Amino acid sequence: MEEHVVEVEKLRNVVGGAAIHRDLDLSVRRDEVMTLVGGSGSGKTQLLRVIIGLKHPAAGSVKVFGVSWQSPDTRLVREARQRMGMLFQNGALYSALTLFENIAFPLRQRGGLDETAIRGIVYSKLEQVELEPRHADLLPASLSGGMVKRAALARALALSPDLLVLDEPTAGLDPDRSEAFVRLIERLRRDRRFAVLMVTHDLETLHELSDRVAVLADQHIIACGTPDEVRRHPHRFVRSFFGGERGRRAFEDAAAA
Amino acid sequence: MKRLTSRPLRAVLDLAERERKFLISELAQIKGLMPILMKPRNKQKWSPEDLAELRVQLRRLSRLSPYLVVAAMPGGLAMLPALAWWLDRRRQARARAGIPAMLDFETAGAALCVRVSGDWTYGTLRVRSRELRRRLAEERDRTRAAAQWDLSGLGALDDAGAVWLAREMAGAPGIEVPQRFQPILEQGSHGLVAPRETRARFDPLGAIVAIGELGIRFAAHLRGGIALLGTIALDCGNLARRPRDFPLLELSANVYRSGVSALPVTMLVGFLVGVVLTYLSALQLKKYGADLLVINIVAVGVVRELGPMLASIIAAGRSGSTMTAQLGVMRVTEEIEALSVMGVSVTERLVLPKVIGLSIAMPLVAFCTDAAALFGGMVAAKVTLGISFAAFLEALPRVVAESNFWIGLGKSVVFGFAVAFIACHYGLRVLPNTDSLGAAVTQSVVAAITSVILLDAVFAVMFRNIG
Ligand SMILES: Nc1ncnc2c1ncn2[C@@H]1O[C@H](COP(=O)(O)OP(=O)(O)OP(=O)(O)O)[C@@H](O)[C@H]1O
Ligand SMILES: [Mg+2]
Repeated sequence: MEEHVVEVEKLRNVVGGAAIHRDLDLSVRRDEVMTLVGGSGSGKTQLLRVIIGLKHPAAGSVKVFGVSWQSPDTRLVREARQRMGMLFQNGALYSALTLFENIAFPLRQRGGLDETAIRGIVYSKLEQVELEPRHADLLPASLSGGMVKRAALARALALSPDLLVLDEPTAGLDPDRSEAFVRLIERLRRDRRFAVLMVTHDLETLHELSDRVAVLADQHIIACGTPDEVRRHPHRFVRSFFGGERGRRAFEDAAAA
Repeated sequence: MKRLTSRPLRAVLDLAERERKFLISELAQIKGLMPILMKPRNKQKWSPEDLAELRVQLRRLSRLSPYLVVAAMPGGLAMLPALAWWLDRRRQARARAGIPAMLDFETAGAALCVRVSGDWTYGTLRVRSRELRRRLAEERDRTRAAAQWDLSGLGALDDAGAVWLAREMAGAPGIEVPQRFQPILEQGSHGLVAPRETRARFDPLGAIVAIGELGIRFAAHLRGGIALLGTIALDCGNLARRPRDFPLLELSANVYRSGVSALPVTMLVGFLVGVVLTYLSALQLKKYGADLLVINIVAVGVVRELGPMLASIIAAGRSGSTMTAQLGVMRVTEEIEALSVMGVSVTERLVLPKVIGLSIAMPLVAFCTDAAALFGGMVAAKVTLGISFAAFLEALPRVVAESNFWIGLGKSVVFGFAVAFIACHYGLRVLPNTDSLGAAVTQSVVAAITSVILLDAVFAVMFRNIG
């Protein structure tokens, strides 16, 4: 397997006529949790969209599993896509499918397993994200915001991806559920190695899960390293993000524990 | 320059070298194959172990076979680098999926021992699940004993693997599960016992129930429609009292969108229908020498019936579907809820401008369609019957009573209202999911066209004595 699952080099990205990323470098190793932080509107979601291949960069190279999305070898590109799971910021569940069908969708799409096994996998995913089996037949419109988020997480996990891309996985969850999310990712990573690239504003989640943190500000990654290295960076955003009351508390609690 | 050309070349040669080594190592293992293959000739029988070994070796051989085939061809050696590249890619793909999930079977006395090894993940199971299940079933049939499971060789496990194993191991005694895989295996077995959905059974009264439901749905539509009509009337009343709040901007936007921008297609269709209608009538009328009557037929038909009908049917397809889709998407994205929370009347802001807009635009479009169709008629009359433009225009006011024109325009006002009203009605009933949105657009167009034709029939009866 590759050393780096995500390699972004000299990325320049233009959205609606304005450059929102310039000279941006980022890499994710194959079994680490990389957290991307940055102010609201700094372009984190847009960066994830470029990484997962929904958008072509204006310049620079983006490689996932060593494959460029523009590669002419469509088979490699497809394989790379299938090794990736994505949780969108708003869930992006298919509104016409039930919760069960949403999670079963990628499994049925890729095939290879019989229906009983698929049912087993879906229900065990539901249990992992703490959704109840009786909700399995509801349409996304009749789920709560937090439930949508957890269902989307279950769907992103369905194919056991080698790279899990999460856009604010804990936003809209109560503290217990955020905690459960952290435990879930930790446990899954014990059973099987995979990489996680996530965006979060939740300092506790960040602190408990991240192996490395990258800070997106001024249109590029201004700092990248372990949480403890990064939070000493002098940039204004880093100071206010980690240095505020909540930031100190998250890190001190952890130190005390 | 030299370096540039040599680098890719060297890469290819390196690959070929690597493949050569691979080939040699594989062949070294295959050497062990010969004694086994020789056994039957030496009057020995193949034992089950031998058979298993043979199977493995044959698989190896088949993996090598592309080489053997190519090397046997004349000039085949030259293709080796390309083949090496291809094989290398294939092997990379294999490596990525992880170590294959494996089951080894051992029979100790009466008991069957199943040894699990490799990575049991979705990636590896996807290709092997079926084969593994078949082999397990075969072994079970053969030994007819409860299997003992040995999970110590398990490399990695995810939900797919856990569910697979949990299903097969159900009820097996004394399984030792490595500590770190215990939670996930347990979860896998939970997943399997989850409630099963009950199959819908055949119901002999189903048809009657379906008809009843259809009736109820129709009644609900009717009720919703009447309620919407009432709200629109109330809004009109309210706006009459404070005319400055009238959504003029939206109104003019709607007139433009469903009127002006619909003109090219509507007029083109009108022109062609005019041509065809005149041509067909002319063929018949010529037989009786009643050439000039063609003007009557075309003019009355177009002005009173075809113009408004064509314009409204095209509007139902064009503007009606747009309106339904727009309101429907606003429903899906909760924009309608947001509007009403802000105290803005949805009908006043969204429905009224559309309905009034189309009611204004429709007669204008119908008028232009009339003109285009009559022009088409003139052209066709000149070509087929030699009636000059001047004669046609001169005869026109004589043969069509003016009332026909007004009836046509009046009808198109009503049609416009109906189309927009039905479109909005369906748009507001969309449920927040994409299926419902698509269905609503279809239903809206179908209902709009049907009601236009129905209304036309009603008008035909009502105005049968006029014009
Ligand atoms: N389709 C678009 N057209 C033009 N500009 C856009 C578009 N989508 C996003 N932007 C702009 O790009 C910038 C980055 O947006 P992005 O969604 O990546 O922010 P973010 O970092 O994810 O913020 P948040 O933390 O609030 O989710 C924003 O300033 C936004 O206005
Ligand atoms: Mg975002």
